[in-house]
Amino acid sequence: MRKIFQFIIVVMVLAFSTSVIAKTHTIFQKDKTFMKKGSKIESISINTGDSVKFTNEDSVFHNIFSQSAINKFNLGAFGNGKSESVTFKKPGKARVECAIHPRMQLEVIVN
Amino acid sequence: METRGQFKFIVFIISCVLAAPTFANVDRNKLREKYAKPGINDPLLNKSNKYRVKLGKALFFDPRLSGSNWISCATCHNPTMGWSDGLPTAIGEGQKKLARATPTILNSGMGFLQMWDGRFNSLEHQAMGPIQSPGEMNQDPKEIVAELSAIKGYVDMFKDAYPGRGINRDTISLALAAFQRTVVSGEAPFDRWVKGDEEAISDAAKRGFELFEGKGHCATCHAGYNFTDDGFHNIGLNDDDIGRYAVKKLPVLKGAFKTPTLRNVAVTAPYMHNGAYATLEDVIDHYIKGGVNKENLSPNFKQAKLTKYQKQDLLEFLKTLTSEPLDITYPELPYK
Repeated sequence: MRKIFQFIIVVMVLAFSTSVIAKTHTIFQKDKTFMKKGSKIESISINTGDSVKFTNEDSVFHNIFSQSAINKFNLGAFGNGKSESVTFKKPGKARVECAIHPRMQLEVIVN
Repeated sequence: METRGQFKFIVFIISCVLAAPTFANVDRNKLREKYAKPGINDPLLNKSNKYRVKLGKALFFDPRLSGSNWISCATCHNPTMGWSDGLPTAIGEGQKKLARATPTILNSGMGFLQMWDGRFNSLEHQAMGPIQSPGEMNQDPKEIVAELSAIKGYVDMFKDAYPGRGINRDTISLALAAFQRTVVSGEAPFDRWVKGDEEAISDAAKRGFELFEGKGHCATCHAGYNFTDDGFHNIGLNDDDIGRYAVKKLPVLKGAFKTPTLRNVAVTAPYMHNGAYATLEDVIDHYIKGGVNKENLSPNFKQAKLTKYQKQDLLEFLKTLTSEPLDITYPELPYK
C-alpha cells in the first residue's frame, strides 16, 4: 500500500515538473500580424521544449512556417478559428513567417 | 387610366428606392482609415534627397544600363503606359519574349517584396536584377560601372548623390530605388469619394465598391490604399509557372504570385503575371468562373458569384482608381 502511494506521488511530481518546464505560448494571427495578449509582437522568448500555438483570428487563411536551422516546419494553411502548434526542441533563433502574407514575421528566441 | 398611371409612377418610385445604393450610411471615418495613403519609408541607408532622385531618374531612363545600350528600365516600365509596357509579357534582350508580364512600378515603394515571385526584399535589392538578367537588359555589372565612370556628368551626379561612395553596383541600385519611391499614385476619384465628395464617383461605382468588399471577395487580397496584401496567391490561371514556389518550397506557394496593386489598373492592361487577360472584363470573368486551373488554388481564393450587372458595377468601381498621371519630364542624359 505504501509503495503504491509512493509511486503515485512520484508520478504526480513528474507530471507537475513537466508541465512547469514545457509551456505552450499562444500567438494569435490578427489583422495579418502576430499578436500576444492583444498587442502586436515581433519576437517572443521561450525555453527549449516549449510549444507555440498559432491561432488564426483573421478571416483569411494563414500558412505559418519556418525555414530556420533550429526548427524547420510548415504548419500548412489554416483558417479562422483554427490552431496549429509546434514544439521548439533546440535552442537558438527561428524566424517564423506566413507564407501567404510575408509581412507577417515573428522571431522566436529559444533559450 | 389616370389611376393606372399613378400606380406605375408609384411602382417606379419604389423601384428607384430599392435600387438605390445602400452605402448612404457608410462609415466614412472607417473608410478614411482603411484607405489612407501610407507614407513611403526610405531605408535608413538610402534616405531620399533631390540628388539621389535626379541620379536615379537619369539611370532609369538611360538605355546604356543595358548590354545592348538600347533598353532602359523605362522601355518596359514606360510612364506613358502606366509604368508598364502594354504587352502580355515583356520583351527583353534580342527582342525575345519573356515569360512574365511587366508589372507597373507605381507604388512599388509601398510594397514589401519585389517582383512577381517576391525574390527581392527591397527596391535596392531588386534594382540590379533586371539589369543583369541575360533575358532582360543583359548587362555585365563591371561594364556598366566602367561605362558610367567614363561619363563626367555621371561622375558628378554620383558625387552629389552619394559623396565618397563612387560608382558601383550599390550606388546604382540605391539611386534607382530612390527614384522609384517617387513614382506614386495621385488622388483618384475613389479617394475623393472616400474624403466625402459624393459626386466623385457614380452610383454604379459605389455599388461596385460594395461588391469589391463583399460578394466579389476582391478585398480579401486587394486590401488597403494600394489594393494589395503584398501576399502570394494561386488564383487558378492556366499556366505551368510555379511562381513563388521557386523561392520558397511550400505547397501553398505553387503557382502563387504577388497580389498586384489595383491603383491605375484601368491603364495597365493586359492583366495577370502572364498577361492572360486583355481587359478588366476578362479578369472579372476569371473570378466569376472561379479560376481555370483549380489544382492548387489559394485557400483565400473564392469564386465571385456576380451577375452581369454586378460585373459592370465592379468594373465602374475599378475605373475610379485611376489618378492623374505623374507629371514626368524625360531627363537629359549626361553624355560627357
